[in-house]
Amino acid sequence: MNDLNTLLERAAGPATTPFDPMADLTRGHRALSRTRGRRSAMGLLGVAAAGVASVGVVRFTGPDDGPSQAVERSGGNGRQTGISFLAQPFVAGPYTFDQTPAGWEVQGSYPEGVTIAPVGFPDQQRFSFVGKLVIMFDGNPLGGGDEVDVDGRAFMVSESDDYTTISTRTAAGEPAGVVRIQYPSGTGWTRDTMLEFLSGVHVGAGAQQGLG
Amino acid sequence: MRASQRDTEFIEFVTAQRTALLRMARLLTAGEEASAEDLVQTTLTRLYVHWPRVRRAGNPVGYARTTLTHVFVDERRRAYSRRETPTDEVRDGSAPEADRDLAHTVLAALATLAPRQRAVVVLRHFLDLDIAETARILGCSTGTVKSQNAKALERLRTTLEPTVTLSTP
Repeated sequence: MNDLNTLLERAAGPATTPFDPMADLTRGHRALSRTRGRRSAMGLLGVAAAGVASVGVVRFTGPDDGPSQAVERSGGNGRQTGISFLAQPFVAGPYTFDQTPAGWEVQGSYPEGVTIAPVGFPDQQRFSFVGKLVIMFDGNPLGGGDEVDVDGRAFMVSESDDYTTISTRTAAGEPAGVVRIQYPSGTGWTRDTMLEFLSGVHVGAGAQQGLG
Repeated sequence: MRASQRDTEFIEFVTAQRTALLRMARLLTAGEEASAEDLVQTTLTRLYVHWPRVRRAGNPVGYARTTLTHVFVDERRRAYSRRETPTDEVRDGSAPEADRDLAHTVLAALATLAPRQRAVVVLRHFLDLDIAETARILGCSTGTVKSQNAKALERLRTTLEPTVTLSTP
């Protein structure tokens, strides 16, 4: 005679399975962005007569062997933001980066990824990603979005209100999979600087694919 | 509520509860591993979007179980014409062969139940929820839970025997 609870316990599978909470959080971020976007769009319908601030974008590029800089100027509030790179490689766990975004620092590295935030960012939790760069390695498909070719390598760019996610397959000689970075909006990153930074991410042998 | 607080709490919840939710989803889907994972992902995404509400409710596990059950029932309602079939995807490589066979047999039996009957079995006999809580989650009367449970157990007994004999609850 078998107790049904015992049978169901066995049928439910192992009590411990590997998973990557970052993947769930990323899905949550995207869904929340879509929800807010819809709410925002609904709100805009009600204030259709309101003016729309124009945003001008100016890009400055330094010498070939020097740092490059992208600067955005907002016509609405005069805010100026930008990302400049230092030609200074750094290592975070199994991940190596060709360039250092000036004013940003690694908050945490783990086999499945790296969290990078502005220096002095109030939230120091490495698994908290709002306002931060999140570098992830996984075995999922590249995903949707705009396909951009950089030096023969395909990158998929997906944009939402709060984040831009860019994905690319790992380079030859690296563990097979997809490396993707989630960039927070409003922190000075442009599509060009995002692509440039991700192009310089190298996945080492100790990296593990996140699940989900 | 600051976004970072939401993230931190959500990560803690996922870390603590994801496996339990996946096990529940495996039973609901009768061992369809990919569907179970989809259910959990959808559930967790909904939880994140509504996290302030989840937090206010004060019982995130209960909220997640309810959401998971609703997602499952809704999904099966939409895919009603698609007949559920047992699967070979019981992923427990560490389990002895006899246990895997038993798990497969139980999942195959669950697959013969209608979605809401399966949900009743999982809520009542896997999560050990009482009739009132099961009725609340499923949005039906306690009488309906009792009758669905009785029909489900009868069906399970018929399907499982003589390989497995169920004790009387």
